Amino acid sequence: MKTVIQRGGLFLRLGMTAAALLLGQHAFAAGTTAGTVVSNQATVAYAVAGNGQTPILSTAAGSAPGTFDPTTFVVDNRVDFSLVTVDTALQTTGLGQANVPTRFTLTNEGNLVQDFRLDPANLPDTTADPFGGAQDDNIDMAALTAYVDDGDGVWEPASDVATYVDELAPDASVTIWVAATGPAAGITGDVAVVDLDATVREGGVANAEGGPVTDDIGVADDPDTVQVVFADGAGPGPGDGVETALSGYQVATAALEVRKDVTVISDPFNGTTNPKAIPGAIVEFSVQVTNNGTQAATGVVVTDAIDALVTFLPDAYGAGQDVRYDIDGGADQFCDATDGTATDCDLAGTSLTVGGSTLSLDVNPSETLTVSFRVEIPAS
Amino acid sequence: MKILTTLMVLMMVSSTHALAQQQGHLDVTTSVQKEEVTVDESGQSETKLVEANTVVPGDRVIYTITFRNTSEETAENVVITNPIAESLTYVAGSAFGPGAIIEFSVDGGQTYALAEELTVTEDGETRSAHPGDFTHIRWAMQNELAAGAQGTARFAAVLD
Repeated sequence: MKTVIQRGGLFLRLGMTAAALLLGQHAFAAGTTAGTVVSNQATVAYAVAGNGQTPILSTAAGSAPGTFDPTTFVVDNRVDFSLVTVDTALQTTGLGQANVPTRFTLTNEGNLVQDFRLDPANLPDTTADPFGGAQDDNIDMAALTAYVDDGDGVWEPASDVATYVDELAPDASVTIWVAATGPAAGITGDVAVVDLDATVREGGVANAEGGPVTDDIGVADDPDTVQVVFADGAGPGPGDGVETALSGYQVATAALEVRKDVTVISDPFNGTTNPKAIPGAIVEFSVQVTNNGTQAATGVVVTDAIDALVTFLPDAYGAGQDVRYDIDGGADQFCDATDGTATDCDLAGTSLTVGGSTLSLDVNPSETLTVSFRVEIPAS
Repeated sequence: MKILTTLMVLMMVSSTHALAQQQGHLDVTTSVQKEEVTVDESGQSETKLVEANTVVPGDRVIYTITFRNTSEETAENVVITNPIAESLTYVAGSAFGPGAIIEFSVDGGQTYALAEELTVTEDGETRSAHPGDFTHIRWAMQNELAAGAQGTARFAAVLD
C-alpha cells in the first residue's frame, strides 16, 4: 500500500487521502514536502507444489526478518530560494526624502515552509549601476530598512511593517520593499546602489523569526530526521543559504530655471499709455524662478545686481512695499527692502536680495516664484 | 471512486496477510539507496549508491527487493508486486529482475501490462502511458525458486 505520512505536524495524508493522491497529481513544483515519510513495501505471491500460498510482505533491510516493517526514508529539507529585484531602473530620490522604496521578490523554491532574514545595505562607491547606467555609485542612502509587503503589492509605510519573511510556503512568493532616506547632500544624477541579502531561517513558528538554518552537508546522515541540503544558486556563494539582489537610487533634486523680464510702466510724457524707456521712466523687472525638478526647492534667495545707471524705486507698490512676489500665481505679497531689516529682503548698495531667514521662499516642482521690483531711469 | 474502493479492499487483504506470514516459505527484504553522483577534480563523474539518508526532491532512489526461499520446498510462480509511492516517479527502464516478466499498472494495481502496451485516458483522449502514470510494478518470475535459492528485483524512482 502506498502510505504517505507527513511529519512535523504540517499535515497528514493517510489512508483515504493517500488513495486519492494515487492518481499521480503532484501539488508542489518545489517537490515533496520535507518531513514526508516515503514508504515502500513489496508483496511476494508464490505457490508450493501447485498450491498458492499466502503472499509475503517485504521487510526493511536492517529490520529483523519477518517483522514486515515497510522500507522508509524521510524527505529532507532542500533549501532553495530566489531573490530578484522587480525594479527596471534606479528609483528616484530627493535629498532627505524619507521612505523611498525599491522592490524585490523572494520565492521559496524549496520543499519546506521557511522564514527569511532580510539585510539591506549600501554598496561601496564605484559599484556599477545594476541597470546599466553610466553613473557608478557615489553616494549612500540613509536609514535602509527592508519591509515585507502586506500582500497588496503597494508600498505603504503604515502597513508594510514586517522586517522578516514569516512562514513562506514552498512555491510561494512575497514582495520585499527596501525603503531608504535620500542623502542629506548631493546633486541630481548621484547614484546609490543598494543590495538586499535574504538568509534562510527556520520556519514552523508563526509570528517569530526562526533560528538559523545550517547545511547538514558535514553532518552524519540520519534516516529518521529531516536534514538540510542547501541548493540555492548564486548569491554570495552557491549553496550558502543566502541570496542577494541589487537595486539602487538616483538623486533628482530641484532644477531651477530663472528668467528675467522687463516692462516699462510709465514715462514722464506718455504716462502709462505706451510708455517708453526714456529718462524719467519707471521700469519693472520681473524675475521668474521655475522649479523643473522633482523635489521642492526651499529657502530660495533671489539676488539681483541693479545696474548703476538706474535707481531702485522704494514703495513701488505702496508704503513699505518695495518688492512684490508670488508663488505660482498666488496672492501678491510684498516686502520692504529699505527698512534696515535684512533678513527678509534687503537693498545693499545696488544689490537687491529677496528671501532670507525670516522669509523662506519655497518653490515646489513645476511651480514658479515671481519677484518684481521697479527702478527709475534717472532724468539726468 | 472505484480505485478508492479497490484500495480499501486491498488494504484489508494485506492486513489479513500480516497475520499469516509467520508460516511463509520466503524471507523478503527491501532496501532503499540513493544514487549519488560525485565529480572529481579531473571532471570525471562517478555514480555510487549510498544509504538513503539525505534525500531531497530530484534525488534518485533505488529499491532492491531480495527474496530467499528459507524452506525445504521449491517455490513456483513467484510474483512480486511493488507499489510506487505517491511522491516518487518511476525511472523509465529501471526495473530489473533476472528471469522476470516485468509489467506495470496505471490503475492502482487492478490490471498490469508491459510498459509499452499501457495507455491512459485523460480528458477523453487516450495516450500512451508514461512512467509518471505507473502506480505499481510487478515482476513475474519465470523460474522456480529452489530451496535456499535467492532472487532480486530492482527499480529506480525520482523523488518528486
